Amino acid sequence: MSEDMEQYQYFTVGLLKNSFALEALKADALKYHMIEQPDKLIALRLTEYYELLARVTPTHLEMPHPTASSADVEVSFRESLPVEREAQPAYRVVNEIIAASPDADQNADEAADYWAKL
Amino acid sequence: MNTPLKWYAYGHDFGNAEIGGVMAYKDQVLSHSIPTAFAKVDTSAMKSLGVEMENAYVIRMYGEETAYAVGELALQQAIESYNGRGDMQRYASHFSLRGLLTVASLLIPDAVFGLYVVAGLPAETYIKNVTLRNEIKAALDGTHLFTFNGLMRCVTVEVAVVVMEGAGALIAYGERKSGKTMESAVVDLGGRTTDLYVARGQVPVTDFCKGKPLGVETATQLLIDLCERKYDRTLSLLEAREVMYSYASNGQRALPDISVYGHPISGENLARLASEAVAQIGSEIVSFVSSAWRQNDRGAVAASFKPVLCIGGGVYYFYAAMKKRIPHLSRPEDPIHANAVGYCTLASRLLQRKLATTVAADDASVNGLSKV
Repeated sequence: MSEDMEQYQYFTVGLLKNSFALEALKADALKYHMIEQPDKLIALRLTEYYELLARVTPTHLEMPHPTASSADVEVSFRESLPVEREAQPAYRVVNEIIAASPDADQNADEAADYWAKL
Repeated sequence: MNTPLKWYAYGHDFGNAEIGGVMAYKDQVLSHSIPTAFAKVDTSAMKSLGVEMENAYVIRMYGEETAYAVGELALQQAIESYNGRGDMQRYASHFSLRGLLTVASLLIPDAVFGLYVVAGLPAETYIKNVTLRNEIKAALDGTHLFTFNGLMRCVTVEVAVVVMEGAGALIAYGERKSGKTMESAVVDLGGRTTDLYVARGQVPVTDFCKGKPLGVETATQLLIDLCERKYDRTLSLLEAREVMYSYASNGQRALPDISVYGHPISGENLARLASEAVAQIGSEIVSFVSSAWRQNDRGAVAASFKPVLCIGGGVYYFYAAMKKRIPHLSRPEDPIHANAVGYCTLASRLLQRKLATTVAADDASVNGLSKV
């Protein structure tokens, strides 16, 4: 297959031999008659993965607008890194999934005072 | 020999679709949930007929002839299993007790133990039905001798306190506020209802605590109706649930084989119907939440609340729709047990206080005796 450097960005991807991902990819390629086109299948499954992520946790992927410049992409990507978000404590939100509160015991103390007297 | 009873803190969430339990056990926090479904069963007849008994939970209280299947077995074996929907007294029923004992027996192998329980009630029910809290305590408290899947157990239950649903999630996942004006909020997308809870610190703000009978089961019922209308095929509750689980799993779980007059209904068509049902009920839920928590005429919803937690099994269906209206919405990793985790944390704290009080009373008694 000839490469279209204008339209696509190409990567060299290595998958660990005997890994779960590699075995799953081989089975997937066999099932959908794509053993000759693993590169396309990887691109397809990666697209599906990000679509799924966007559906389950929409703001996790703050996707740059399709017309954004590469500089915008860089900024957008950096902004999405949790380490840059100093306004929020580190324990709080990871991909919108909130972790157990470090204040849980104190919350329980306060709740015990309130609910036990009702 | 008189061995002291081993007590464990326990969070009991008797939902109308799922019964959840969380227990603090030997430095671990264990959780489990099963469908809210009960059916009287004849276990010997089922065994003789070769009925599949895997994931079968059968409980029989000592002195009773009737055994109850709980969870999936009840759904499989009974056309109409009990789920208590619409009955507010179900929280104080023997079904709630059987559900609690079943989940606790699934969590730990001990034959004899005590549970110090925190349970929850929907906020509106808690506010309007004051006597129900005492009725729950009366229904659950006591020492219960029963067989679970043929093995004898003896569990002593003591209800420490009944709280509003939503309070549990804020204990487990809420921030401790220094200011007295900041409100935290919880949207509990349950099986049958959507319940809203807002608190300052751990004190509820009742104006914002509302509920509406909309949830996953509403969408499941709509799926059943849509399928009946389009294909003249009435899905059983079990089939409809399987279709919904498959939808929520994003293809990880296979759709069940459904046929009508000998012809299969394609998975694509079933998924489309499920998607339509979820979208429709999701928009109704979003509308309800928007109306209850509207904060200005510019369309701000729950803007001043922090955090706004989305919990319950409905997270897997309606979270994306909710997120569009409340951008700062977040969810715990295990949304199904979010309340019960908080109940268990509260039960642990109350158990510590109780044990401390008992020890202090014993010490005082000993000192008093020595003075005499």
